[in-house]
This record gives sequence, structure tokens and C-alpha cells, in this order.
Amino acid sequence: MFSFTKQEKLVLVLFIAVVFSGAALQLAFKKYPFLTDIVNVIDSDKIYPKVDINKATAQELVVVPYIGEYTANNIVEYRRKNGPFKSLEQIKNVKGIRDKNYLHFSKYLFIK
Amino acid sequence: MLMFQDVKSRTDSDKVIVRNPLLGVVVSLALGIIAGEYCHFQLDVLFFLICFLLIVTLITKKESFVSGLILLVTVFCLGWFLCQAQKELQGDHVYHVAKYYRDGPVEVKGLVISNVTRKDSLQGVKTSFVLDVQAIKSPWGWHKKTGQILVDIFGATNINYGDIVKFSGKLHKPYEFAKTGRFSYREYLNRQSIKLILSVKKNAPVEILKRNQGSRFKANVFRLREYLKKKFTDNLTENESGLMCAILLGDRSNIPVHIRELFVKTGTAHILAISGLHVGIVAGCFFMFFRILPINRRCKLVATVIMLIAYMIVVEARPSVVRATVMTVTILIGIAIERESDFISMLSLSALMLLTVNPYNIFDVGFQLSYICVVAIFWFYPLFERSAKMIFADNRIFIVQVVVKLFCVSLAVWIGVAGAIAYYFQMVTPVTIVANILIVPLLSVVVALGFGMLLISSFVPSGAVFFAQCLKLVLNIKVGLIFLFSKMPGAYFYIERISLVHVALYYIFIVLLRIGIGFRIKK
Repeated sequence: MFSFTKQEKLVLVLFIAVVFSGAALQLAFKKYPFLTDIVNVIDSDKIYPKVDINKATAQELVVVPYIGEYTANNIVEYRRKNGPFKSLEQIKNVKGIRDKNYLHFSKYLFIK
Repeated sequence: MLMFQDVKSRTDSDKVIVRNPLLGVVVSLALGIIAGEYCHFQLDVLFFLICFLLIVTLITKKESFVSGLILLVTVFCLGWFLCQAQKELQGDHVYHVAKYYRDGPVEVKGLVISNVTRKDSLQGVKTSFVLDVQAIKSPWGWHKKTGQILVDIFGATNINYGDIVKFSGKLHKPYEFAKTGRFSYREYLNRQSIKLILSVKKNAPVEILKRNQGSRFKANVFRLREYLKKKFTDNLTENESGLMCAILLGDRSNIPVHIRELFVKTGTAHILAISGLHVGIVAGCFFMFFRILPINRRCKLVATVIMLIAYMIVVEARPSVVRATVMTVTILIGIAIERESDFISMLSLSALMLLTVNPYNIFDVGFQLSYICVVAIFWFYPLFERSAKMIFADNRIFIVQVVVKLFCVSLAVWIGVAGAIAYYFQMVTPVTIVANILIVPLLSVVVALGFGMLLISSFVPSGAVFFAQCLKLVLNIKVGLIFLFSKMPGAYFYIERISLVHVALYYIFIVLLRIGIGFRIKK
């Protein structure tokens, strides 16, 4: 009952380590809620890849989620004709961009 | 046995390549498939040619050079034949009549033969699945038809695998989306024998005629996958569970787009697709779990093999998973029978299986990258490791040794896949070499924790929370590191389109370089 093989010991030690770390983390997140914000990188908007809409080329814009080749070319063409964008909202004037698309990709764009 | 050899009869890697008969078979088959893709030849002529060559092989002297050569030519013709046979469509295939329904919606009846995916798109929820067409409605009534089509329903439905459904939509060829790389959506679907898409509008009526008409085995596999996915969604946030479903279950439909971009930019996107690394870690987890059971070593190995095959089926048996599973299973069998597995034979066998099942697998980017990775590790890693040993000869610190080994593997893989990545994605990602040193060990922890969570939550649901907390922490650290790597100067850069000639020249150069260095070392 009290004798474990080396392999059994290893599996049990790993299991206990995970349970202990999990419990400690849960407690820490409960006691110090700011830790959740620090750790939660995946759900944070800090990691959104941002593209400067006044400097990006069509090739760089295509990489932005929800912007295809057609829209990217239209954005570059609009910028060429009307000069740099003054606000992000102005991008809605580009041919083919509607409110719905704008909502999806606006978080990936910025103006310097 | 082709797959196993005595430890005593081990030879160096170059000799193994030359001697390996399975490798010759795979290379001939692959060349035949490529020839079949680009040059058309009458199928019946090919059929008789193969029969003739088979007879000639049988009557020629055994173990002669000519006999071997004829056999390889036969395999080449077989590859050609398989490729062209795959292209042939049945007489009543829906593709033949699709052009008559271009202008308006068409009513179609058929069986759902794939898992049904539901994901958010710009138009709302999009339900997608593969339909095995049974009938199509014309102005003169229903006509029996065959063939597989992809169905996109713009709206949420309660359709499941095995349902016989009826709906109307627009039948069209797959669109060619933005060509930022070499990837062609149309070709990708064609290679899965899907030549048409049926787009069903949001408010179009969808009728489920019968339930559970598919294979019971397949239905249970899909049910199991959904059950496992639910375990992740219950314990993690939406984005985290999307990542875990990709890493452990091979479902990449729910990865947040911006996170996928981060992985692509740092050249670590291989982490999001189940590869040999994942299968190896999963095998390790299973073996570890069986270690605590009171059964003998051979039974533990057999149980691991069975579980690995089951895992391969659950994650949809993509080329990289099949390759990795065949290799891992062969290694485990080798351990069980106390024989050393022959690396090239294992690799060739897995390729042979994949190409025979679907010859078009050879054009699959995942298939190509998976094999290039493994060959690069096999060929370059020993060389780099030897050089590293000379530099770090005196260093006995465990961590340093591990980091050096990881660096060598990472460099070998990067050199191997750089040409293919540049060709397909027009991107060069030098940061990959450094990123992998940290990301790969973290992936091992993530896979082990994710796997542990699935196991624990199936038996003791309340216990899963401990694994989930650890998993959240490691997963977030991993993504955070990838984000930081992507911000490093010169981490990645885009390049102009390169041709196949450039890629070929790159690979010829690295092969010659490797041969040259190997030759100098031997001297």
C-alpha cells in the first residue's frame, strides 16, 4: 500500500503538482482580481495587430482580418483620391465597406 | 520486416536512404501522381500498361536491377492511374448538370456526410457541411444524382451528421478568394472531390427528412468530438477553448482571427495544427497514464497504440496526424518487439498510405510541410547537434543542453520549410528559430494539461477546474510570448511572389550544402 514504483511516483507527483498549482491559482485569482487582467492575454485587445490605415499598403491591409484583396485595393484607391483618412469612421465611405464589416475590422486599424 | 532492424545492423542516415525499397516506391508513386495531374493519358491504356508491367516484373529474374526498375516504373504508372481515376466523375454526377442551374436557386436532396460546423461570419452564423447529393429538382421533377457538394447555410440550423435534408440554394463553383498566397480554395475543395458549393440564404426553408441515416461509427466519433469540445467550452473562455480545440482536437474553426495572425507571423502556426509533436506528447500522456495501471509493459504499449489510433480517428485523420501516428505506432511496436524502427521506412509507409487513400494529398500544403519538417530534422539535426556539441562541449547544465537541442531542431525545421513557406505564404519568419525554443516546451505542457483536463473532467467534472486554471495560465503565457516575438524587429517580412524554380533552386542548394558538409565531416 505504501510502496510505489518510480513510474507511479512520477505520475502521482505530477498530478499533485497540477492540483496544487490549480488550487493556488484559483485562490490567487479570487483574492487579487487584478491578476486575472494581467494573465488574460488571449481575451485582451492589447494583442490585436494594429495597422496604420494611412500608411498601410494593399498587401499589408489584406493581412488584416476581414479585409480582402478587393477591399484593400479600394481603401488604397480612396486614400489616393481623397488624401489621408482623418478619422477611422471615414473608412465607411470606401466602396464595399458597410457598418457590419466596419465593426469586425475597425479594432485592427488606427490612425497616427 | 521492412520497418524494423536489429540495433547491430544500424547504418548511417545516407546509406539508409539509398538502401530503402519503400522510399523508392513512394517517390515513384508521388512522381506518377504529379505526372497524372499535369499530363492526361487514356485511363484504359494506363490500365493495360500496368498489367503488362506487372507480368514483366513477375517473369524477370528476382533481385535483378532491371526487375526493380520495372517495378518502380509500374508504381509510377499506378500513381498516374490513381491520380487520373480520382479526377473522373460518375455519369450522373451533379457537376454535369450544374451549368443548367446557374441563374436561379435549385432544390437539392441529400445525406449530410461530414461534421456540421457553425461559425460566425460577416453575414451572421454560417452552417457548413458536406452533402452527398441524392436528387436534384428540375422543372420536370426530381432526378437521381450523385456527387459531393459543400453546403453553406447562412443561418443557424439543427442539422447534424447523418440527416437526410432538402433545401434550395444557389449552386456554384467555389470562389477564388483574395490571392494573397498560392492557396486556392477551389483547388483545395477539388482535391477533396468537392466541385460545387450550394449557398442557402438565411430565410430559405430547410427541411430535415430523416435523422441518423449515416454510419453509426462516424456519428459516434462526431458525438465524442463535440463532447470533448464542450469540456473545453465549459472550463475555458471562448477564445481559449477555440485555441485548445485546434491544438488538441484539430478543429481550427473557432480560433480568433487576430491570434491566428500572430501565430502565422511568428512562424509558429504549426502549433495550431495537430502535428507529430502533438501526437508524440499525446502518446507520452497515454503511456504515462497506463504506467500506473497494474499491467505488463507490452500491454501498456498495445493500449497506447490503440488509444493513439482512436485519437487519430477522433481528430479527423489529417495527413500530418496520420503521418505522425503511423510513425509513433511503429516506434511503439518496435519497442514492444525489441527491434529498432527504421525511420525512412516509417516515413515512406505513412506517405504510401496517405497517397493511396487520396493521391491529391501530395498537393496538400499540410502534407508537404509535415514531411519536409520530418526529413529536415532527420537530415540536418544530427549535423547541427554535432556542431553544437563541439561549441558547448564543457557545458553540462541540463537546461543549456535542452535549449541547444531545441535550437538545433528549430533551425533544422526552419531551413527545411523556409522554401515552402516563402512559396505558399510569401513570408520569411526568422523569429521562428528563437520562438520555437520557448513555444515548443510550453506546447508540451499545454497538450499534457489539456489532455489531463479532458480525462479528469470526464470522470470527476469538478476536478477539472484545477487543470483548467493551470492550462489558462500556460496558454496565456504562450500567446503573450508569441505576441512579444511578433513585435521583435525583423521578426517576419513579406516577400514578392516566387516561382517553383526559385523553390527548387533553394532546395537543391541546401541538399548540396548538406551533402558537402557531411562529406567533409566524414573526411
